[in-house]
Amino acid sequence: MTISRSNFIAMSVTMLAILFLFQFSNLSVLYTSKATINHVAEKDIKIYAQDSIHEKTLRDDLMYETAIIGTKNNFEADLAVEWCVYQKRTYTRFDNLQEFYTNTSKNCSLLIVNSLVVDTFQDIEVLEKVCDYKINIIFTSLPDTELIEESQKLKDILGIHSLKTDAYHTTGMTIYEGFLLGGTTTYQKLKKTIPYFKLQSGIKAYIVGDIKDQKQKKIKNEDLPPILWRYHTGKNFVFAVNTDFFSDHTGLGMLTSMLAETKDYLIYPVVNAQSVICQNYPYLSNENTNTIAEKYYYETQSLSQNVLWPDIISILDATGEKFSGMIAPKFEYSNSLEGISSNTISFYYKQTEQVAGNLGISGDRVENGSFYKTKLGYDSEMFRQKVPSYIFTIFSPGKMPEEIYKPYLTSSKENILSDIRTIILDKENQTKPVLSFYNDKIISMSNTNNGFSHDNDEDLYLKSIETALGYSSVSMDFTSVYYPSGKKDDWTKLTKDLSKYLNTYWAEFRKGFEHTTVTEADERARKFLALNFHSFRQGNTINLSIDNFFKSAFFILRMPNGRITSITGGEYKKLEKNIFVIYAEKKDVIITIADNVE
Amino acid sequence: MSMEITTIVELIHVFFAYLTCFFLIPHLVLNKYLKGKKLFERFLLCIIISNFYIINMIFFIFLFHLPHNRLMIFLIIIFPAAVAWQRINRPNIRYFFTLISVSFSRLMLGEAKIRTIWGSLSAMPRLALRRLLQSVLLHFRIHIVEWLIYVALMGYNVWYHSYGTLHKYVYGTSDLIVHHSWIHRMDEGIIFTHGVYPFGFHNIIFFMHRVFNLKIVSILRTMGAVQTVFIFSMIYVLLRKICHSRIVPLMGIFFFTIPDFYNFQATMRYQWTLPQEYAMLFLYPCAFFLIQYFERKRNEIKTEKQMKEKGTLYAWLPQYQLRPSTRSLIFFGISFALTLAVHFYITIIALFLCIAIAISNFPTVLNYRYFLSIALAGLLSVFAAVMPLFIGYAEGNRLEGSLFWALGTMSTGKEDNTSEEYEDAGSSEAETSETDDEEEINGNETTNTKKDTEKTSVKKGTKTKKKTVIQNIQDKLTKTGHSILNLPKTIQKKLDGYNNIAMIYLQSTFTDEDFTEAIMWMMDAIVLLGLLTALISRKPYCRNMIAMGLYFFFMTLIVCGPFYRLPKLMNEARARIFICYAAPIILACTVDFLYTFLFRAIRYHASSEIAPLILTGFLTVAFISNDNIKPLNIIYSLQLPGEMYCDYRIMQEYPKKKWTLITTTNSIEIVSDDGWVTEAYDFLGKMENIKKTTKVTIPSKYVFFYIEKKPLMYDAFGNVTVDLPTFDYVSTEEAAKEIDFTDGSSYFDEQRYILESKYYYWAKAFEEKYPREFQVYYEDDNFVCYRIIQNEFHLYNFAIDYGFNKQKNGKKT
Repeated sequence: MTISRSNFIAMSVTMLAILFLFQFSNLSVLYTSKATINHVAEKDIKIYAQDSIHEKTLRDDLMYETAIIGTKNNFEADLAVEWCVYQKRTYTRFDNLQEFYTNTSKNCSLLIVNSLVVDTFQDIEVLEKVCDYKINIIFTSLPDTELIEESQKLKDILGIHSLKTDAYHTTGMTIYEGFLLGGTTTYQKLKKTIPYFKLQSGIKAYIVGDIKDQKQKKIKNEDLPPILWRYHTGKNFVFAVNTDFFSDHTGLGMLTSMLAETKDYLIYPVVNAQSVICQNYPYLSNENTNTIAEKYYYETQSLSQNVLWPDIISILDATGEKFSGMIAPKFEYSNSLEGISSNTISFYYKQTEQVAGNLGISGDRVENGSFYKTKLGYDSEMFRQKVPSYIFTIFSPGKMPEEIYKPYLTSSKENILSDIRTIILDKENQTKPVLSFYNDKIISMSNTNNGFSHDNDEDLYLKSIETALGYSSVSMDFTSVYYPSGKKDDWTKLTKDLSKYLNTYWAEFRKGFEHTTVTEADERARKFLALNFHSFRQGNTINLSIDNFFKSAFFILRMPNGRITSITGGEYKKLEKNIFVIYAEKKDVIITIADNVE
Repeated sequence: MSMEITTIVELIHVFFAYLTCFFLIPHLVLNKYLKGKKLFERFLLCIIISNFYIINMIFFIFLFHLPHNRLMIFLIIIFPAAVAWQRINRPNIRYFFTLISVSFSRLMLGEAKIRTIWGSLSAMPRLALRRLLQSVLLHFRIHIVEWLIYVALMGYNVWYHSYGTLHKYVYGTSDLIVHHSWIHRMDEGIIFTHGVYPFGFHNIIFFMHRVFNLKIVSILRTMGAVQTVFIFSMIYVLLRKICHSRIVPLMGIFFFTIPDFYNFQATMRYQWTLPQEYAMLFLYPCAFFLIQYFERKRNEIKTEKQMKEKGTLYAWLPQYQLRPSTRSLIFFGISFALTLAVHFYITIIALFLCIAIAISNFPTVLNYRYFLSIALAGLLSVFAAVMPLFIGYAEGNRLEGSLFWALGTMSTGKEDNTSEEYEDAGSSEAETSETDDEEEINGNETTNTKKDTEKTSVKKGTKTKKKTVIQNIQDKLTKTGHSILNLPKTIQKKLDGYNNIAMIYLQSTFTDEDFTEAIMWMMDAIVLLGLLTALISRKPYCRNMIAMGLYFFFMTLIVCGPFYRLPKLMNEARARIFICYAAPIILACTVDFLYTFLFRAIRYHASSEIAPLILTGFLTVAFISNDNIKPLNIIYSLQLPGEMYCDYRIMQEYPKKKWTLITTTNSIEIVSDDGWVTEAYDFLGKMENIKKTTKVTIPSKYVFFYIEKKPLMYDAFGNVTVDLPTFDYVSTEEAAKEIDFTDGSSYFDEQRYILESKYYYWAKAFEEKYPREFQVYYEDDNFVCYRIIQNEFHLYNFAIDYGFNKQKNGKKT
């Protein structure tokens, strides 16, 4: 069989064309790559702390909307202040109820108290008078059971009929639909010891404790130990929290939900950012090789590039998450100071560029002892030499103490942290707000979850933060992968867990909230902290006007039983039944609502 | 969609569903048989055959406990469709199965798609349907004037009889709730829920409900107006059979539609979907087919005789499998059976109608060839109608209470006041006293007559002895001559006497005394003129006229019966419904008599129809200008329109069985398929003696509270154009009063006012506790519906101290 000349030419041209087309894309990526330049650093910061609405700007001692009772060291009161900042509610803080009573604002519609500030009969008298003013009250924790038992007035304020047991061990708890985002959830492992109250009629329970053998004991759901409920005294709403939700930021979302339960609609700003952060990944060195080789038959860097990277990207791709990596150049700064290969750096930078991810710098290392400064010095020098054009804007200190990195952040001398704009704080750091300006330039954002574990309390925390802020930041610390301490740190197990958690617990929030890198989350958080808003309702129309508006803003609209029929000045997405995310594109948004039809 | 639009859509849906199942499909099935028949006769045949078929098929399914879903659809839809296809295509059985198997093979081999096969199989039926529509359109074009009058009258009737439903939305009479419940039980596979009862009507509604997926409430609300079209059309059909004019039958409908001749209680029931009214659909078909039978039989005997004489009988006989007269008799039997299958009162009326026709055909009817056939047809039809009831009884169902009630009524002539809503106690008393007085008068007259007779006979006896035989003969001849000469006077006297008595008894039947007198004279005239013309000419026309006159006479006799010491077959209130339904026949027959008299000479040329047309126009103008138009109906105060609106909206908007209504009784049946109902008295009763531990929970996600801000005066009635009779707005004074919460007696009279007042203030107190959750779902001037959405895992406690319930110590709070 012979091929004609013309056919031969045609086939050759086709093959060449195909070869060129396939190779062209790779070559073009290779030659046009700007992976070693951080484009974020090239842009100017648009919103600084001075532009934002913060504690001081919202404090209004005369016309406040929210009164918070609690002294300086009262964490529950601090949390309430943080919540007011997020909600853009004017507030003032009093040390005790008597003080509040003598300075009650006409605008005051909400009083937030806790167990520490309601401990005398005089306080109860004040609360009773507050009820007459039709000011809604939130007890972030309940007063002592003895005081409750002794005071019928307090019982009537809280809607308590009687106390069954002052310390009852619940086997779990159930959060009912419509309170926190995420629907009805039963936590079988979230055990609490709480006072068991029997409540009056006219209450609405949002969270109840579970009882072992409930069916056998023939206890109806309505008689389960109440944990969070609402009572209407006939004049105002009183919310009671019968456990320690307000010992950390879990209380934030609950405050939002409680506020929503007093209104015919509630619209409030949210960040709308869901990030996944790989702490200490990419890892650039080749340490602990023996252990890793023993476990995975790979050297550390091979494992990192050939196993971890494809796994991470495929998991994130499957769920639509974006990659944000906090680079750990080394873990062991004391033992060896062997160099880091430029190829390794280039690999991660280019791969990150291809997946449109973000890179930051991690503050972690594995050794005990004070080698943090050595680390920062080494990292600065190494990156200056290897990738001089890349300017880091994200810093995740990890376990690094604040006093170590703080001088670097504020120093005028050039170092690896001198251009940082975003600090990612650990979830454990509960004394800091979830979102706040660290200084005029830097914004601090807290992680909300650990990507490799998801307990009941972590889930509750996630739901609460999502409810309050529409924000989550899942952190996966790769230290344990490189320095495994047992089977639990096996990468196969960790990837499985990560994949499982991302596909289940976070999946429900993807309906309305968007995936972001840390940089995008930073931008949205700045806008969120900067904006202020006003809204009012006229019949079936809600008018929303935004101050300090920077191109876009996000809100959540909650209604008792409603749906959006149309919107001007933005878009909306249904998050859950009666809950919508509003994407404001203009300063003034008009939302038309209607009654929900099943 | 507003409730008015919903109602109109339902009305159209029900109308076309009924028309399809009871006219179009039967027409396809009977295509061959109906060919060449007049449109009104085809219409009549389709209606009675389809009703008979469907009623008995449903009976068959239920009495033999067959699954009432697929099998029913097979038997009632697929089977007739197959028969229709087979009849229209007329293939033989072998060809039929060959066609089916070829189609199936083509389908399996992929040579043809289902659409193609369906197209080829349904080509002929579609053609037949097209031809039917074309024939109707052609008929419309040819008889456009008649059609326009007919459509105008029917349009007016639909508007008139749907006015209540359209504006008040609710069931206008409590009977409907009972029938709704019985039909609803059929959904659960139970027939004869409350005992054996003529279930024909219920079978039809159930059929439409199942096949067209229409809600029972939708059918019962609108079917009244739809069935009116068919019931009123039956007047036309009968009159077309007996009248010479084509326009006069339309005048029959006109007389029953426009003028205000009839007591409103005699015509108001047509607006509701009730069995008795539905059974009236089959009353005049009985007469139609019996008259047709006599005509055909007479012709057949005549033809048979002629053929026999010619010796060609052998050629004539084999052309019929069933002779036309036998067919008429079968259809008569079906119609008669249908009256009994739907409502036995109509059977009584049908019996009178048959007797009237039989008398008018005297002495022919006594001929064994007629009599035996009719008797046999009657017996078979009774057997057909009673058999399902008998099987039901044999299966262990007891007889339904109203059967005993009806038999009691027939023997005593009195209906139970509680079951006869519109029976005015005052008028009954008045009627009773009148009857007694009349009986006294009658008694006196009788004694006087006896005395007179005795005196006369004594005198006669003395005279007889003195007179000779010749004189006696002369006297007798003279007397006979006198009596012949005085015959008209005597007849007039007798008629006058009966008319006067009837007028007294018909006072509450017709609105106007003059009209009553006129119609009585018309009846007399029809019978007498009929008799007179029958002597001259033996044409069936005269006999039919006599039959109609006698029929009306029998109707009047039902109410006048007690005067003549005849058994009272039914209550006057019910009898007047049938009298009024017979009245337009008499009116139209009178007009047709005149028409016949005037235009016989020109052999009823088409131009002669101008006269009745002008008369109709003239009467219309006269009635309108004198404001003598039938006023709009009344409606009973059973439910507020807002409640029905909410029932519909909730059923439409909320998932099945996820919601509960807290209301009085009227919505129970309406929503029972979709949701739950807790009675208001029970709900409030549970928290009447409230303690701190009292709990009232409703285990469904959505709970709706129906509250009458202006409580209904239950079972009172008012005109459909005004608001339903209610008490004043709920008040704290009423709420503070005590009522009995032990049963539903608190729904009646002032108890309802108190109950609704308490309910309203409970809602207000509960709204204070749950301002965000307890929302107004619907509100108008008289009614409010609240809604609460519950957490099904943690229900609200609805027991609250609302200020008008007692605390544990028994004191008012």
